[in-house]
Amino acid sequence: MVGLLPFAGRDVAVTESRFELDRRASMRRSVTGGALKTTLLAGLTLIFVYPVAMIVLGAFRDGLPSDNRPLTFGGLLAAFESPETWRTLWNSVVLVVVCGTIAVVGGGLFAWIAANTNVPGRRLLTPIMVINLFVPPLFHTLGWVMLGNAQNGLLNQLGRAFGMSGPLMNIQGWGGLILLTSLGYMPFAYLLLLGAFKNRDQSLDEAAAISGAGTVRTFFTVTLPSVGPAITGAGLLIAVLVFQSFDGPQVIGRQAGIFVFSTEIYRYVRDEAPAEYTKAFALSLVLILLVLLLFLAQRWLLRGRSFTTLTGKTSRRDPQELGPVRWVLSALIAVVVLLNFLLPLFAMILGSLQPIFGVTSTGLTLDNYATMLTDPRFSSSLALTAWLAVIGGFGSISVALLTTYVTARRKGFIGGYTSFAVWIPWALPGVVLGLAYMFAVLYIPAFRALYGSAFLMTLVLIVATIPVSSRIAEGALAQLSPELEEAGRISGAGAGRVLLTIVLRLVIPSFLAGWFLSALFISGNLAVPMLLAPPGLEPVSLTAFQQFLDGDMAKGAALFMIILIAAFAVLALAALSVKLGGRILGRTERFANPLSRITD
Amino acid sequence: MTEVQVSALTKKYGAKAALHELDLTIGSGQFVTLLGPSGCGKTTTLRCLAGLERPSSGRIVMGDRVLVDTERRTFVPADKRRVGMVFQSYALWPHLSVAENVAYPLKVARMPGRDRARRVQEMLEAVGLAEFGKRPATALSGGQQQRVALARALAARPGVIFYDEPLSNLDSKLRYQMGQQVRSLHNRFETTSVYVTHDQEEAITLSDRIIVMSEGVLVQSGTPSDLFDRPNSAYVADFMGFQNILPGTVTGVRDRTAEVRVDDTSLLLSGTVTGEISAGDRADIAFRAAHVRQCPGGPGTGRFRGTIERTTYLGSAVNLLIHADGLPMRVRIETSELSADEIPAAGEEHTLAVNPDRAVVIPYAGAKQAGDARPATMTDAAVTSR
Repeated sequence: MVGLLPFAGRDVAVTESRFELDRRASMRRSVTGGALKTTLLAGLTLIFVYPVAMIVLGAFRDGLPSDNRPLTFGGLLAAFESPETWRTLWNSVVLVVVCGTIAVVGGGLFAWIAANTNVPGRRLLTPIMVINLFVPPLFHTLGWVMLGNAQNGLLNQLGRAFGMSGPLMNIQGWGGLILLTSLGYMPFAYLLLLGAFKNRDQSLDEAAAISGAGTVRTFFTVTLPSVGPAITGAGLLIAVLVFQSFDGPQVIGRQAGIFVFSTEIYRYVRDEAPAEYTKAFALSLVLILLVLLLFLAQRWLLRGRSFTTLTGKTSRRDPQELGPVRWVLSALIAVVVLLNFLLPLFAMILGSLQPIFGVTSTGLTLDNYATMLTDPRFSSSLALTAWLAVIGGFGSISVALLTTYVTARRKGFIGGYTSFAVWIPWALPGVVLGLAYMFAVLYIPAFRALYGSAFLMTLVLIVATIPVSSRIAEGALAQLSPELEEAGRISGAGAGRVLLTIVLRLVIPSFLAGWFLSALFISGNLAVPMLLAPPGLEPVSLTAFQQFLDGDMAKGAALFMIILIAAFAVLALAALSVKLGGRILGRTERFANPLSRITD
Repeated sequence: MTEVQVSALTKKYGAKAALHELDLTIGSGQFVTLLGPSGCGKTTTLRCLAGLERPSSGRIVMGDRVLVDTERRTFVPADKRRVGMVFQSYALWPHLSVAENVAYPLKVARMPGRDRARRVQEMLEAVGLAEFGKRPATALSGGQQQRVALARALAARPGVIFYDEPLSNLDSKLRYQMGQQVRSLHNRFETTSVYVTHDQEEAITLSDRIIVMSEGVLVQSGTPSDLFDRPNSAYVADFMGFQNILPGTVTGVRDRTAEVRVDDTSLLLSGTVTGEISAGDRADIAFRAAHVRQCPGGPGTGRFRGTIERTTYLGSAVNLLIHADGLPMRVRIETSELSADEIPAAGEEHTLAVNPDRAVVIPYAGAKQAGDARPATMTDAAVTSR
């Protein structure tokens, strides 16, 4: 049937039945599109935004947030009046300022060494820092407890063997906390600053040298100021991360009576009887506001600036020739490699092979490993962690890719809201997240069954890992030009087909890398399981921590070693399959280096 | 072959409108170029036609199919329009080989394997890349990649092909060759082509028809020679390279020729009328630097005396910046018209004549749509050669 539709003053033959089909299809699509949008917004609200409301509610509720009690300022006032709060704030500030400074100065120095100088050993830095970044901090911290605890720390035993009367060091105190926190965040600072040092114009230094300034003077008067904005930006981000740190303060600080925000919140909830939820929520709210303040400060400082700073001249210049001082810097690299990598790993390996940790007379055996794999208490913990890591890692990178994709491709409300929602886990440390979700499910009767379930723990672990997986997703999608998708649509492929055959196909390498790293992070997360692990379902982080508290460090170390070995095996397998796959296909994957965003 | 008709097409980004009630018709089999500076709405128009952008309101009909009718809530998405497109960035999929890239639209259209292979080979031959099928798409040079993109756009034999500044990433030598290839493929496969560019030379050499846009509205549409010789607004005249655009008042009209007194001077110039005009109207007179001749006689209508301010020697021609009655004017004299060793020098006074058949008189009404976009050609910049 051919009908006539008026068009621009003329009649044009238009197939009326065809139009009717297209009109119905348009309506179908707009209904589906609307439904998808609504689902996305509802999902984001439920998973990311709504739980935070619990913290605000909890801070003002006279009782549990889920109770039907009047609202009050009592909790906040009590928090402000309590000397404990101020002591906690003071501890946190000391930790943030001291460790933040050491981490940024150290990270910056090493970034400069790696990018601009001829110091021997500089090529070791990036691999070591990347490994450090992705080995969960809990592993690192517990490794150091094995090295430096006052009773049977390996270093202290060594000291005694050399005839020292007291312990060489006690890691469980301010000194240890500061050392480990500083070392722990140095890789972040290093990788944030490496790009700035790499991209800066080295002729600035040469100009200073020609003007007669020596190496040291050049470094402080020219090199450093030229990366100033990058350093302040990195400093504030590190400050946020230190503010939120939980594992170190929990494992090391508590024994010495040092409480920071996250451990104090945990103490209110788990160590007080009855639990003081209002205080915990009030403190959480203060923590979130402080983090928000730091983020705003960072935004403000970096307004209109790119992180890479200054001329993007790509002309590679020769590294700066340093005199004998370069051997001092080499020694520094060696010290960091030793402290951050070799020593804790050595302690873990040795500890896991000793039947009783710290007792050398009994020799080395694989008994601990055998116990781990046969004793149902440990083997079930390992199996649970494997499941959590695999499922949670998959969930985390999937959610990160989806939300990053929406943020990148959808301007307007949908994009803005999505980017806001996934930013929330950045601002909330694990303990606060755990607390928020705990009451988020208790608040709605239909969800109460989820309280104390493995599902809730998995969900919160996924949310807590979003900041890591989002970085990888952003890197992957930044390389994916929208025109590649548009070319697919023009070729006649529907949205689903484009997503499947083009977008997903191109982000697969990043997807796998993100899956792996998120899984590793989830397996090392302590804060979330401590609050949310259902009874009888303890992941490795919790079991190992418990072993450490009970003094059976050997078993805890063996548990962690199994995780590390498994991670290493996955990595080796992946590398092998990439190599084989590349050979079979006969072409190199030019697209996507999943870590480029992080290491560049 | 497919005709494209657009009516009252409007696209808003927030409160800002990128397209205002645009009406245009693109004839079946025509090669039509949308021309304008960046931000004029040409790319938005193209993306609305291709289905990559959803118009705020309006109607688009392609062939016998209504693609967009906002009043009747109909929007056919890009993948259902059966069109082809060549992107500025080539947009070849890096995980597919050259042949797989070209085969993709055929695969989506469920063309059987054997036919598909034959078609892919035919397309690759058409763009001169028959030997490159197995290479990874991203291993080719820029020009080769754009030819693959061309083959992919044409592979499914769509009725309309869209080109989004396809040559702007290529160097100038390749640009000409590729342009010719685009045009010859258009002729060979008898498609309708809509081409977006900001380069007037590209537009003039490739198109059957050019549509000049400014700030989301159509300013003028016509054949390349219409636009090049008969711009109907100061905006188009400036864009098409008229170096001299002088405001004035019409003193008389005879046939298609009008006399204009240039504001604040005694200059009386005549030119060809492009629109409805009568004595007393305000109008611009526009002429190219090359449409001025040296002229031995005294001043009169179409002539003026001026002092040379600056001379730029170009080899085959000389560009002159001349002050006549206080107005700076750009003049280009071919050296073939000069006697040996005679190069006009700064400070000299000359009498010059504007060719009235080549100069155009543009009524102000014609410039209304372009708004205040009166060209700033009266600056003391170097005289450009066209």
